[in-house]
Amino acid sequence: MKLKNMGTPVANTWCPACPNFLILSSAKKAILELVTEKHAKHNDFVGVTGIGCHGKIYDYINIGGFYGLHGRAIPAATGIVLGNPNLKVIAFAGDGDAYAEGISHFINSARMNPNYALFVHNNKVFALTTGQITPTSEKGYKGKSTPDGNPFPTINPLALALQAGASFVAREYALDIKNLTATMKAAIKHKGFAYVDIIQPCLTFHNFSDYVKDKMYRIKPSKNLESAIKTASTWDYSLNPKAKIPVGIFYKENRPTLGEMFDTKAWHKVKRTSNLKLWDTLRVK
Amino acid sequence: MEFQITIAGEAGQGIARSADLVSRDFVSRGMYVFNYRDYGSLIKGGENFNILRISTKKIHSNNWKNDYLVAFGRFSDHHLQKMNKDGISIGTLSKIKNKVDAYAIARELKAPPIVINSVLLGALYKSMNQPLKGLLKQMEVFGKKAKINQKAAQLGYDRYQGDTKHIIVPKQKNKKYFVSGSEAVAYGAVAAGIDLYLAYPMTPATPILHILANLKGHNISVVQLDNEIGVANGALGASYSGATTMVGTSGGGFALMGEALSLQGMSEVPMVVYLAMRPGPASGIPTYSGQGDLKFVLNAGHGDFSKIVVAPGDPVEAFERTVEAVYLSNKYNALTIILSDKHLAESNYTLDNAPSFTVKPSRFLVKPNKKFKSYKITKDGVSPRAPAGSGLIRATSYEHDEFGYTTEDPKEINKMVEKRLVKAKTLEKAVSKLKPIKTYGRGHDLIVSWGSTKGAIIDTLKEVDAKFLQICYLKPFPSRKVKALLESARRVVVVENSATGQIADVIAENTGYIIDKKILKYDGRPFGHEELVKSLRRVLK
Repeated sequence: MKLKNMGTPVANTWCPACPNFLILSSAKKAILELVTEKHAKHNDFVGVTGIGCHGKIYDYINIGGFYGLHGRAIPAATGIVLGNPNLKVIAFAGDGDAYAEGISHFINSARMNPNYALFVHNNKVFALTTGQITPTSEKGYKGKSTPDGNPFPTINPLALALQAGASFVAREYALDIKNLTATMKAAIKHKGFAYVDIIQPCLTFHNFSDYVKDKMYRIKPSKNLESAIKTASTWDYSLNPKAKIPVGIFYKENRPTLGEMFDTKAWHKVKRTSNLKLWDTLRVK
Repeated sequence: MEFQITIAGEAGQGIARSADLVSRDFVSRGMYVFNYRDYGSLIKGGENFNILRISTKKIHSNNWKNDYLVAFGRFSDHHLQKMNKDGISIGTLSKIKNKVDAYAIARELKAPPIVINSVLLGALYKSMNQPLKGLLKQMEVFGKKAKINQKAAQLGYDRYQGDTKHIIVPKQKNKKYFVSGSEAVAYGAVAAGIDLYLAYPMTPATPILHILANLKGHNISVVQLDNEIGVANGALGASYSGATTMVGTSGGGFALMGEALSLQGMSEVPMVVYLAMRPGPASGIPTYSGQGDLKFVLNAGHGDFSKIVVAPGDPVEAFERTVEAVYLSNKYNALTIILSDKHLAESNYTLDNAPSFTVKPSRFLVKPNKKFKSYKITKDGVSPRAPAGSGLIRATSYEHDEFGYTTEDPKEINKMVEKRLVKAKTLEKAVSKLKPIKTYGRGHDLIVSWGSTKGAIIDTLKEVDAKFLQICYLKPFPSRKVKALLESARRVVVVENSATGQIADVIAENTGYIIDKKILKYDGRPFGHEELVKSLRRVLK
């Protein structure tokens, strides 16, 4: 299989030069390499998306796809791995999607540890709705719904995920295809909820690429939760000029997945027969 | 022969369990018992009670007057006002005529105070002049605690010196089933072959979650997710993976699922929703019953799309309709809603027969070829469905072409909208083969209803000269069949546990027939037998 087999006939409608193209390339590459390395078969891969610019990846990547609702890529992905734990599920979400509309799913999935990778395309803005604040938009950002500037502080989704029990937490930069691809592969291979926040400046509504450019430094994964939270707290998603932005895998831990905890079997591994045996237990003796 | 017992007291005193023991004893001796459970939204303290209507004939409803009242603790005075002539009340409080010092017996046995419930059941049996043997046998379910409860019941029986009102239970030996609507839906779901049940706790749908979670050896995963939105979207994900999946909730949770129901309409991934109604709006009356969600359920989800709504009226139907619901969803990539309520879910019915399989459960999955189209346009509007992983299978919330790619092209849009319209017609045909309506009794007048009111209505037919039309499939609506019956009736009356009689609106919308006679009840309580006979006689006099 070749990289060109990973595409679809659908015309791409992302803005020219949008970093989403690089996330798409990295995802295609990561999947292709995993197929080549026989980690999984092409058919095993399923992409789940929410709604927003990120969601269009559903139409552009040649794997099984579930184009869900805004904010609901996470629960849909959870359902897929509960139904068939053998699938390789990748949930793609946006920052508005995962951190605003779907925040409860994000926190609770970190806790429940379903076995899939979550890639958040974080451009710190609602882009497909033409520029409004999300929970990771910095204070002061002038969006269309906040013409006087965003009055709210940001949330730190990495620290939040770590606090909530996520077993794999990483951050990458969309423009760094090499590292992004490697981390995507590691996330897909990870057994459990593997979350990668991907910094993806929006060239049309929120271009902070100059800000992040020289601030990033690579870190090594920690097995110590407290130190991982400390590292995650280094940058609070504001545009503080003095900040440094750690990228790479922050934390990785092996613990039972949601499916393992509930002893979930792939539906096709269970033979079901219809009878009244259970009903007969309702007969009064 | 017929009589009624109410067992009342404070929540936590074992009222529901005691009612179950007495019910099972009488059922094992060939009697028909209807067990109505009345409890508030609380765990301990406050008043709960169970009504046991017991008869030699088939019954499916309760009355509001008692022959026996057993009160374990504090209870509302209204029970004392609701006694039949010669009715006997037994309890621990001095306001009750036949006071039993049950606590002294508990102390004598060095048993915890809770065993006063068994003492009082013993006293009840003495007052009815019933052998205690069967009740003691039922108490075996207590396991290690059986002995002490049996001793307490025996002492309660031996020492009772109050009023008596003898009952004679005719000898008969046929084994019967004693079933709640919840058990029937849960076991129906298992028989239908579900792989996964997802839910967030909400009364009165929660019993299904508990029953299935505690079921061993069936390899069904039961998972409580973060909220009903997670549950509904999770169910669609699981179903897309190929797993047969069901979810359960009540009105508020169902409202939260609304957007995902609409996603079902677009993605055409099979989905089965069990909805047990309570009276609304909002949090409403959580542990009571009502049918006021009907029009909301029929119209739930934004956008034009088809769905199936089926309302069982008793446990046999609850089982059979649940199997049908799963079957229809799988076969037609459809959304099917099983519409029940607290009354059906949490009452126990005595049944002579087991349900039957009206359809043969199946996954209806195909193996995709290389050029597989997830949304292939077919004659009946139903695209063959392949599970995720068997090929590159797509499901989407956006309008799409046959491959499942997003489209905004007017031609492609029309094709897909029209495919779904054809599917709606197919659903209509499928449902028309599954007894969408049932009629009972005879008479020139027609009683129209649906769901759990069936029990009370059936019981009136011996005393009221009318035919009863039960509408089982509320969507697609069996318009032709219903219209024919309405037009041939002399007078038509709707019976519904709601404030507005919503089924009359649904009938008007689908048949043009206007019904102005309505018997409605909206205090959260079901129709009592004598109460409904009176109302029907008044309306149809």
